[in-house]
Amino acid sequence: MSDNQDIRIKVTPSAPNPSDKAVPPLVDIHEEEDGAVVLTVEIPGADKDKVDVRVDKGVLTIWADGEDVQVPEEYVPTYVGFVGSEYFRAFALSDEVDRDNIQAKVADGLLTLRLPRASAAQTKKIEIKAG
Amino acid sequence: MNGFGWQGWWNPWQRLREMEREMSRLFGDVASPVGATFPPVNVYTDNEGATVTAELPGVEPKDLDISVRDRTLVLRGERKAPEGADDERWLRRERAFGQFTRSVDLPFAVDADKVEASCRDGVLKVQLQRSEADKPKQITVQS
Repeated sequence: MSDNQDIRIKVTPSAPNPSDKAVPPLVDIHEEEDGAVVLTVEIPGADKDKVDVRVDKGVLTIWADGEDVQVPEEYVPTYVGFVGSEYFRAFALSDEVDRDNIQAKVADGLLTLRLPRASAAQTKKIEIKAG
Repeated sequence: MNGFGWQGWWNPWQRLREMEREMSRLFGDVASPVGATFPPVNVYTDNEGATVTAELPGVEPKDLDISVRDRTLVLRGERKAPEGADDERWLRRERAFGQFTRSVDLPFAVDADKVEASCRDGVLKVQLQRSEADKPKQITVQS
């Protein structure tokens, strides 16, 4: 069950439209040796098909649907400590992030996003033409 | 209380709440730095058994220990930090890590041999059968 599931990143002009019920998921962010930034997002109850990650105009949006918590119909809820949620959160990306090579996977209710740093050759010398 | 002492024992909600409060007091603050009781659980019951679901994002089944005794289900485990995250490289920390213990008191005794647990997308589902000895017996009135 804990197969890593690859997610295709959609770079689209439209961000997902979360409903009013959507809650921000908890996120950990850390930096790796090569400068890549890794986001670990808690989205319990959501599988790969219910996750939508987009980058649009420098904004990373994360949407996931974990509302279906597989409640057995014949049972009566005796104690309710959590309800499945729709998750939505957005992050502004700095220019250092290589937006075309963001990787995402889902496993055990965690979404992991790897944001590689754009190549160091950012500084580009402009030749000045004579005349 | 309205003078009827029986109100406490027939109401499983009240009993569960008392138990949860007690466990939160004992383990909640230690097990979960964010202060909330971890993991959050739901309990569903009918006359034949109970289903308990728990939100455990990022906890692998091998790091999870589930035990049952009489009326109590105990979930133990560990939440691990993401790999490769050295202390000085954190940019944001909202999730909590470490060991946790959560006891769930059920309204009836369960058969410890007939417990099934499955984990999907970070949601644990434990199915328990009410023990035969605990089930109410139908008494036939003889004429």
